[in-house]
Amino acid sequence: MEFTLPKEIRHDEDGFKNLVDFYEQTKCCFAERVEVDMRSTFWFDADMCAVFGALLCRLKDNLNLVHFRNLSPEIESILSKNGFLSHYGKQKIPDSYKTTILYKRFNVKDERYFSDYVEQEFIHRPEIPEMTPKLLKKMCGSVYEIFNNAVHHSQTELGIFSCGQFFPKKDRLDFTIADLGVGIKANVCRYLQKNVSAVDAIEWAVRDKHTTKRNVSGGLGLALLSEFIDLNQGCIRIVSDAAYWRRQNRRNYKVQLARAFPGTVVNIEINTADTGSYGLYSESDDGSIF
Amino acid sequence: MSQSISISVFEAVGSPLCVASEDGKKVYSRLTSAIKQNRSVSLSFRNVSMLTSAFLNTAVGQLYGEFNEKQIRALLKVEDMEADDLALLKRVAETAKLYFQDAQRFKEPLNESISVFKVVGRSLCVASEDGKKVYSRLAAAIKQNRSVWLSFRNVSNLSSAFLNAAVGRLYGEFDEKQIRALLKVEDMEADDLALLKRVVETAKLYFQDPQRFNEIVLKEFEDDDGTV
Repeated sequence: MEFTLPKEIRHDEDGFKNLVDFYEQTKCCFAERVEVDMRSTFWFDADMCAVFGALLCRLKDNLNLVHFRNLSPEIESILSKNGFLSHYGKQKIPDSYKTTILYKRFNVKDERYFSDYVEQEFIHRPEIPEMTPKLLKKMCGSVYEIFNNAVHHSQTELGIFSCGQFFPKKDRLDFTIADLGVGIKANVCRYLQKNVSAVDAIEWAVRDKHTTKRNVSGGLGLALLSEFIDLNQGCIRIVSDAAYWRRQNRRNYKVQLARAFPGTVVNIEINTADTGSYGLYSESDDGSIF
Repeated sequence: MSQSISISVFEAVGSPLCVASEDGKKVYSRLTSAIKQNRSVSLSFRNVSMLTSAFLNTAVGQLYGEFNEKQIRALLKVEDMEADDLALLKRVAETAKLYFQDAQRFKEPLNESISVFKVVGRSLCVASEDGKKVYSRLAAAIKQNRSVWLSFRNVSNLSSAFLNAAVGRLYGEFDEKQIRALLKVEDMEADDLALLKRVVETAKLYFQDPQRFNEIVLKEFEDDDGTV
């Protein structure tokens, strides 16, 4: 089996469509040699390794052998620096510019291990763009919220995949978490006991207090994330089942994809130059909590 | 009276990173043991550097499923918490209270959304008469205890008069807590959101004590030019 990756894999609507196409064409492979030809690919957003890695992991789980061909030196360099290609027989090379955030695969029980990863990759790194302590805390909090969502809702056995990249000159940091679980649509339909579209399911899930967990309260994680992204003037993208959803500049954009992604991806883009103070809505309230 | 029990979140979890809901269970079990015995508890967040809603929900939010609000308020105190973490805890507690009061309401339909643009029929939302149309829709939903998303998509201009007639007046009819729990806004530009916040603050002040509010306004006016 041979698949030629397209020109660009960016963390935008087209980038996700391209990877969904890859999934569609390879999903039936079993115990085959899968050749991924990247001769045409001149751009690969490093954080999309989380999504690509998840799909390749599924292929390997089906006893396929995955090989890359014709990687451009630039792409090979960045995917080696962030440790992605180490999973495919290449050696990890030092990141002299120190702008990569390691590609990692976690099990759903690895919440503590994930915490260490966030500490190492975000908090104890002097080369991370200088951010206010509030912003750094909010950003790490957001990353934990995304991971927690995957842990509690994906029901995946293949793991949770994460990767990131920052761009010091643009004051931007991108981070993506992907899982190959049941997806938001399945969870919301089961919970509401009615059929809703994949797009509507995401819209439902990102709203305050909406959770598909049973007999427990919750549903704040994605709402908090959206609020933070609004204040930070960043961007959040969610792909789950056949839906692509984006929030930027306080506006939602959503589109139904022709084919479904076999799980959920959450990507955040943080404005690292932000100096906001991040008061949550309830901070101005009276002192009583309980 | 028995002495208050002190519980350190850091010690219970064994880490400054309190992010996993599994870790929240460790705190929850200690809190329930104390509250069951009607003991006062002081929950300390000293040395905790990171908290998530998932952790706080398991540690504290779930208490509202087992104990009543009065009991929790009387027995549980928190300390050594930063303002933003305190705000998060408060939000988790509010969500849990609402959830355990009426879990079914959380299964609300998908499209409980009121489009300002559609109600008014144009993007220019400046007249208070137009605001009243939005108000009547909002008031009807809140009376029925339904959650509402008020969408400002495609609205190009907003005035304080419009927002006052649409949203501000709600504070004269409904309790602030009820409005906060049921009404959310979306698709608003930052400056419009700031205007709405100001309208809401003014409305709250006014409806708390209209006479006093008028006195203050008159006094300020007097101070300005001394003619009234």
